[in-house]
Amino acid sequence: MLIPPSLIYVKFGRFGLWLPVFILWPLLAVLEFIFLPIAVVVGLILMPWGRRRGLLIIKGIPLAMELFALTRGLIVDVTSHDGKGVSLMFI
Amino acid sequence: MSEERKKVLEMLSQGKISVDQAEKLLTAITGADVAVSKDIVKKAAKYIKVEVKSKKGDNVNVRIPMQLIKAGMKFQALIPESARQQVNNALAAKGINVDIGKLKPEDLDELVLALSELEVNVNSEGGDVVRVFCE
Repeated sequence: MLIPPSLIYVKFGRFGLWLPVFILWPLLAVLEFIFLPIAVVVGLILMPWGRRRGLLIIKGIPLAMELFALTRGLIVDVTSHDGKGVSLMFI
Repeated sequence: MSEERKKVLEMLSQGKISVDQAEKLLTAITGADVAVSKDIVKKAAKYIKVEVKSKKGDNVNVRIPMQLIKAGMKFQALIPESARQQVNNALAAKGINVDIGKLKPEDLDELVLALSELEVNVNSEGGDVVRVFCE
């Protein structure tokens, strides 16, 4: 089972910020529950006008959620010699 | 060539086993090797890391989960045909003859297996160090 990241650490310059992403999990689940059936219906309706377009709409939301969940463990850390830098960590 | 394969071929050459028996044994060995390789991929290569350390003190540290790369490659199925052709043409211009539209999930597993053995170490004259590896 894929578990999305719980925390995101963002740092610009010397200032860092911990974002409690786990608070958004229920909201994301509700949004997916609401919009996924709509996306499936819209995708099936648009299928005759382009199979790829329909698939994009149907698969887009689950793929986006899967990508977000898989960012757990992603680290991007760029630090200059004077201590300034940009950091992004998905935990 | 693995030791098991050598033994099977020696037994075949000495007439101790038939050709059919040798084929079955080699197939079983190959299947075991692939299973072990996939196990190694599952246990090892979870991340691909890029580390750059310059002599001045500038550092870059990037760690990307392998699963994220695999999932990102699933998006290629959603790329419009015209855009896909442009990507293929751009890759061909660089000498990479591959059709991204024909990539399958099995290919991704092989790619991840190949990446797990990737290690690049570059040390420049100026003291800068670049490392790309999997962990």
